[in-house]
Amino acid sequence: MNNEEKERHTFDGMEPVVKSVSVKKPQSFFGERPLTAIEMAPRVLRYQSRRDFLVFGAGALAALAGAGFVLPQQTLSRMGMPRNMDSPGKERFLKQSTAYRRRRCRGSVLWNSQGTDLHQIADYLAQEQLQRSYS
Amino acid sequence: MSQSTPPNCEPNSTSTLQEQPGVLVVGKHHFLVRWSHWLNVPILLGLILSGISIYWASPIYQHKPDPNTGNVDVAADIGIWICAHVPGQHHYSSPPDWIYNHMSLGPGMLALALRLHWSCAYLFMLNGIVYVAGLVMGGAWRSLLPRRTDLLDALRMFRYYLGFPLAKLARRQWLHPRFNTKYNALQRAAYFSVSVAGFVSVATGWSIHKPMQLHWLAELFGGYNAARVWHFWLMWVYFLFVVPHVILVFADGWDTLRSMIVGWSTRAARSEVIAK
Repeated sequence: MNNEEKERHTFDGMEPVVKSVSVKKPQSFFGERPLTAIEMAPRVLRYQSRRDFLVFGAGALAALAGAGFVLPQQTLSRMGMPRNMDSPGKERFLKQSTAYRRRRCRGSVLWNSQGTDLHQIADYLAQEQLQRSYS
Repeated sequence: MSQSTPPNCEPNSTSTLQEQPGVLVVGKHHFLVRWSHWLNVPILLGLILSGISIYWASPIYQHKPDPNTGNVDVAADIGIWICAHVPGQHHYSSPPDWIYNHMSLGPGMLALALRLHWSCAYLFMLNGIVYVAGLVMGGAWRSLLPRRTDLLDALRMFRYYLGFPLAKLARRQWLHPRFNTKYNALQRAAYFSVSVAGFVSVATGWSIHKPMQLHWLAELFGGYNAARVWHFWLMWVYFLFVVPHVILVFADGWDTLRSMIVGWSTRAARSEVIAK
């Protein structure tokens, strides 16, 4: 079939000789997907951004408060926190977390096995008020 | 509004809200990925501060006792050197503790440090699960997988980063290599390897914590002492990652930092290139 005949067939309203095929490459499972652009109303975008920034700020403040609650006063003083943040609550929290852990370990098989539990050693050393001396 | 917003998407101040055109954005980070990313900051700080306090109790790097000071700890040597040579530190009360006073909870706090370290370690493991869940749900895990062309692309990016400050000084144009992917090869290598480092840190941490019960795990790392060395140096991997990461985020601009808080970016042009 020459070109002239091809054109005639098409113009006559018949099926074109060359069929269209998809040239889209099949995406593999591990292949990166394109980022899809979406159009958003500015008002919605502003609202969502404000919400996310507020959550972020609240999280940052919570992290700072948590650090103040958990870290020892000696460390906080070195970081420039002159106010005494030690409280009975902090002490109780740290003691309770250790007590909880001990209760859990007592019930487990690991407690009775031949293992070195660093917390036991640390508690012992803390009780003995170990201080390294640099003569 | 970022300057990268397409001009036709700028809201028109004279029009009503209904008539305002939409802003073209691309969703960059799943909210679980964002949450776990920011949670890593206090958790890693807690792990590092308490970890160095634990290191104080039994340093990995020791030498024979110094005849003058009796010191055996290399970290204490560094502290002594800093106090002897750095201006303003000559009158420091306890030079051997300088490193521990500045980079940890402090010396002599083993019990508290261990408690905090494990509290943070459990949170770190939980956070890792949240991060992986976010990667899977958002499909972003595909962007982190290494590719065959990564070595060459990484070299191109490395060349770009090396030449960029000089080009700025010389007021010359220094074109950023073009990539049709979410991250460039160096970013991909960094994000992928820091995730692996997180996993190995957890594994070495367990092998140190339970060396008898998990002796097979300690053996994987070459024994208990070698696992401690691995664990120690993995901390420095985080330092090596975090410092350039933060610098480059600020250098890249507000859009990049904001996208890790709000999840979207106005740099839609690149996504169109990918979509081609």
